[in-house]
Amino acid sequence: MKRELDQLCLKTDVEKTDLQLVEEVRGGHRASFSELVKRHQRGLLRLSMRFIKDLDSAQDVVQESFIKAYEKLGSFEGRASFKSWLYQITVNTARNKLREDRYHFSDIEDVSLGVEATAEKNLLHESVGEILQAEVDQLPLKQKTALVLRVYEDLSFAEIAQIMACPYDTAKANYRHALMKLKDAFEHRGDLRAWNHDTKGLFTELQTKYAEVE
Amino acid sequence: MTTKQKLCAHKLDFSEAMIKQVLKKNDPVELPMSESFYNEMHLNIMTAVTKTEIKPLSRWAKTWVFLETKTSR
Repeated sequence: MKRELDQLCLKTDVEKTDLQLVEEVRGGHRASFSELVKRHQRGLLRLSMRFIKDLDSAQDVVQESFIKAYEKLGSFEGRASFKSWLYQITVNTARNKLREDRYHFSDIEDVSLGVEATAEKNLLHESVGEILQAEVDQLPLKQKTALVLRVYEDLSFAEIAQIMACPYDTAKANYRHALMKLKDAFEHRGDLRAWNHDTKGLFTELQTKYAEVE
Repeated sequence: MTTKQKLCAHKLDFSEAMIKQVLKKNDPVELPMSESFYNEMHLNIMTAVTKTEIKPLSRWAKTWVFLETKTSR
């Protein structure tokens, strides 16, 4: 085992797989963790910012996630990829951070300010993307997580299930529910209908074509 | 799967593609571009990690690993 580990250390860090680096860290080579951080810090920051909009807070989430990962490295069994495992820790850390912030900052003044801001925002002509994004932000956390991982990270449902620590079908159902809500927004929100009209009904035209065939 | 079910699935696939396209095109997340930002972030993380130790496996975790090894034989 020691000999294998020594041979592994002869390779450059870039050539090694995540699992090889994890083995080195477990064997007492703390510096190998540095390469793992380099590889995954951007992905983790991007993922955190999907849940926490503030860059500084998102950075805190990433740092906390890496520390947790390091502490728990002994319990990493390698059933899922190291990346999925890290993503799982990050999603949970971001979720906890959101809960904490909601607890600390839910003040009556914030609520009224929030209402004003929303009303003002509605008066402005928002892009379709912004409206859809607002709908995404209102989704229940599990549905949002499944959607974010599928749409922006292009992950498979098997990977999403690993990250969300749930069965495959549950991950898929969460994603489908999120999708249906966004689809409803397209069909029922006035501003989105207007956009649909502007694009000469591209969305409904194709939707109705399928409906007609049905 | 019946023809109707196939069509429904196809319709949902279309909505999925459309929504995915709109969301991706309007991705609100903008990551910092500068390399120094990531170097500093990396440094902060590694500084925190040096003050951390890998926690030993709990007694329960050890039992689980043992059982798992036995059943896989």
